[in-house]
Amino acid sequence: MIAQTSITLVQRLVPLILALTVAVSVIELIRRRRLREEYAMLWICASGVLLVFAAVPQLVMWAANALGVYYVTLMVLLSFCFLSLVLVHLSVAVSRSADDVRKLAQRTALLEQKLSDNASQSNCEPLNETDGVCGSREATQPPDTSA
Amino acid sequence: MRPVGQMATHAETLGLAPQPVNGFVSNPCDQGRRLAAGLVLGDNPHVDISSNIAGRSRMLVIVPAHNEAASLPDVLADLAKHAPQADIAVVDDGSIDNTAAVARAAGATVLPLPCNLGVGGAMQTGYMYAADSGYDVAVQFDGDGQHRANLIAQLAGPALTGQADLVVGSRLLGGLKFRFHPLRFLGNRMLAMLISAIGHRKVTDPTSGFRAAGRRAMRFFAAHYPQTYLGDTAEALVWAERAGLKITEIPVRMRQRTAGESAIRNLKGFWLTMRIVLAILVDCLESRIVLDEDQQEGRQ
Repeated sequence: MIAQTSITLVQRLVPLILALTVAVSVIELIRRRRLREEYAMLWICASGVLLVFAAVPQLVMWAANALGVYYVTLMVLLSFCFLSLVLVHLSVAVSRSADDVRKLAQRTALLEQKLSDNASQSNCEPLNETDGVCGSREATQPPDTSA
Repeated sequence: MRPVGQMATHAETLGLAPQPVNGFVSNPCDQGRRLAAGLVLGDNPHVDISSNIAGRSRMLVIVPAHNEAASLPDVLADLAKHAPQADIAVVDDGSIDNTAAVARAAGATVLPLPCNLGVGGAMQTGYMYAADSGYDVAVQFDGDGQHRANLIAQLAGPALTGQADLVVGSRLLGGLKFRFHPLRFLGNRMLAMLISAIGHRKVTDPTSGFRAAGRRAMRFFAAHYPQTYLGDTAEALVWAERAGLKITEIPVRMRQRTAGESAIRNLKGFWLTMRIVLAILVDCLESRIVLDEDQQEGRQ
């Protein structure tokens, strides 16, 4: 059984250092507000799980026994790391574009309000002597008798 | 662009009839009239919510609404009756019903968001409008009829006099008069404890969405407002606290929400609370937002 295999010091340290690097970079991304809250939480959880496994390698052995899956080739491991990096990058990108979409939507709403405000302004009776304010629309309106 | 005939009738009603709801419509056309009235009456040196020197309302009520066409007329009528001194901005958060039309018909200013941003994004839009238009106080008001319009003046008081930057209407101050579901109560208590611990100041009702923001808080929220799904109220409190805004709570009563009080919803609410707790802890990791007034002026 693989559970009996002894683990060397290097084999203990390398995963631990890697997990710590992941955790620190995730926290740094959050501190710089580069990750949206939902992705921030996902990555915090992910790096937490990684740290636990790195700190207690017996857990990996136990999981391997329980699932009956023992060997992971270096190629699989490397490609998994690469994919994780891509995912982090994507969640940063999605966070940024979600933020941009929000700003655009808000700006649009404010501009649309201003536009309808202006429309109703040039629509009502002129307050002062400025008759030309309503511009071309003046012609389409009946002469104002209320003023 | 409206059809020509409709424009003409609009002009007629504006010209012939007095304003349907006094001080309710934020229409630049009326500003001249109000200005004239203000000059005749003279400026009141006391804190008067009804108008400032320029003759326009000093208070904006922000009503975020997502598919609230059914409940919005009652809410707006309530506001017109009990807070006629305030302008009203309904933020239409990408509704697919005729929320915007209903709000316009009631004479409110409508800020139509092209897509659904959630309460956080909608509220921030309202704050942007308030800060841009130079209001002195902005009141957050739910579109579902939960909040009482007759308490608005009371809520806005400390924000107008400068006693506080943010005034939160608490359901738990001055005796518990609100019936919480036990799970929700637990969630509320947990958040209150957490936020009190972070801010070194006692907070009793962090999930209350009935709030009044003075100029400083308004500018802060226009630039920074949490976008967490349904967590905006509690998180906004943490952000405000961390930015050094002065926060006070006053006791308010709220209407009991009747619809949608099921066990599943409450369980979901509890799960949501856990998410908010986590989000607040994440916030504490983030670098502190410095309240730079000059930076606040230009938007982000």
